[in-house]
Amino acid sequence: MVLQCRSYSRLYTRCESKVKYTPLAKHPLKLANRVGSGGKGPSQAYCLQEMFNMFSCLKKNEFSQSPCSNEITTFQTCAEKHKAELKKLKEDERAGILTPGTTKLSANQVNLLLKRFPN
Amino acid sequence: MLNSFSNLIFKTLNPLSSAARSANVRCMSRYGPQFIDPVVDPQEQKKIRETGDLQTYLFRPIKSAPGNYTCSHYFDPEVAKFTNILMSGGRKALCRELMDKTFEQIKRNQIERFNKAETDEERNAIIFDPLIIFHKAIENTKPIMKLLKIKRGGQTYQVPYPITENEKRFRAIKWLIEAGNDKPNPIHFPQRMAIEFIDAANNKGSAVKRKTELHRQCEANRAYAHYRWA
Repeated sequence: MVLQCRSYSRLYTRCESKVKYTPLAKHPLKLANRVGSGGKGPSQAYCLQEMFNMFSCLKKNEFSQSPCSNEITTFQTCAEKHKAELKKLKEDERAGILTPGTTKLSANQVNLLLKRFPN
Repeated sequence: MLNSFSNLIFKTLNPLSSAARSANVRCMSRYGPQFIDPVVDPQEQKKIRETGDLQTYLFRPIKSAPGNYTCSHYFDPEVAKFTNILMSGGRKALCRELMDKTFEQIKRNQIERFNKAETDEERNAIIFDPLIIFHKAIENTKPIMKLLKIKRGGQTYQVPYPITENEKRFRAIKWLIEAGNDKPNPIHFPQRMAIEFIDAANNKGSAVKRKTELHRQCEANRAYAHYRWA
């Protein structure tokens, strides 16, 4: 039992007196001035309202497109607009361009800000 | 040492390296980002000359035009695309011949219909130009949405997605070709295709039916739309 306690002292906290805290000089307990590139979470589906409008119109007219051309074009322009916006956002993120007033920042943008104002 | 030296040379000699990456340019393309797309259509060229945009084209390097593009009066990019998708095993000459025969057959069918028509109204409604019928058929078979399979919690859902213009065109052409191939055997391909084009131009036929079926499915699966990733 004693032998076990000695060999596994760092793993099992039952022998509390044996576990020692040694701060490392190389990695001080302080946040670094950069963040890693984490994966993005799922963002919300876009143009849902336009799509539902289109579907309800199509269903009303037995899926003939000519009476619903207005709804279809609004949906398509919405999708294209969203796609263009996403592309621009991605390019800005990659280039590290900061737009004032944005709440969501990419890792590159956060790193850029942290470089300017290190703690 | 050598590695770092070559790295240095690469970095100094390659002005595109960082710019290309940031602007989402294809890095291995044989044309740099300064190259602009060629304008093949004579009418477009005329428009450029008239509006005075020619000045912007004067000293810019321009990409070479695709091999199957010509500035001929009879050239149509949509027809070229159709023949390319129809082609199998690189037999493009055969496909071009088939397309020509199809257009001829369309005209023959329409003339036959014209002669059989009894009232003037029917006669006036008939279009003879096969190219107009071709474009109309493709426009009528283009879908608005597509279905994608998405796995969530061990189950696959068919999720409706918006579709790009190129994808729409490809789907329409593929459906038309498959509909043309699906006819009984003794009829030749141009004859089948001609019937299919005329049907699709009138919003009928199996290709258009396939499109509406897809729309129906999309409508049935609209509840899963929020599974979409932006």
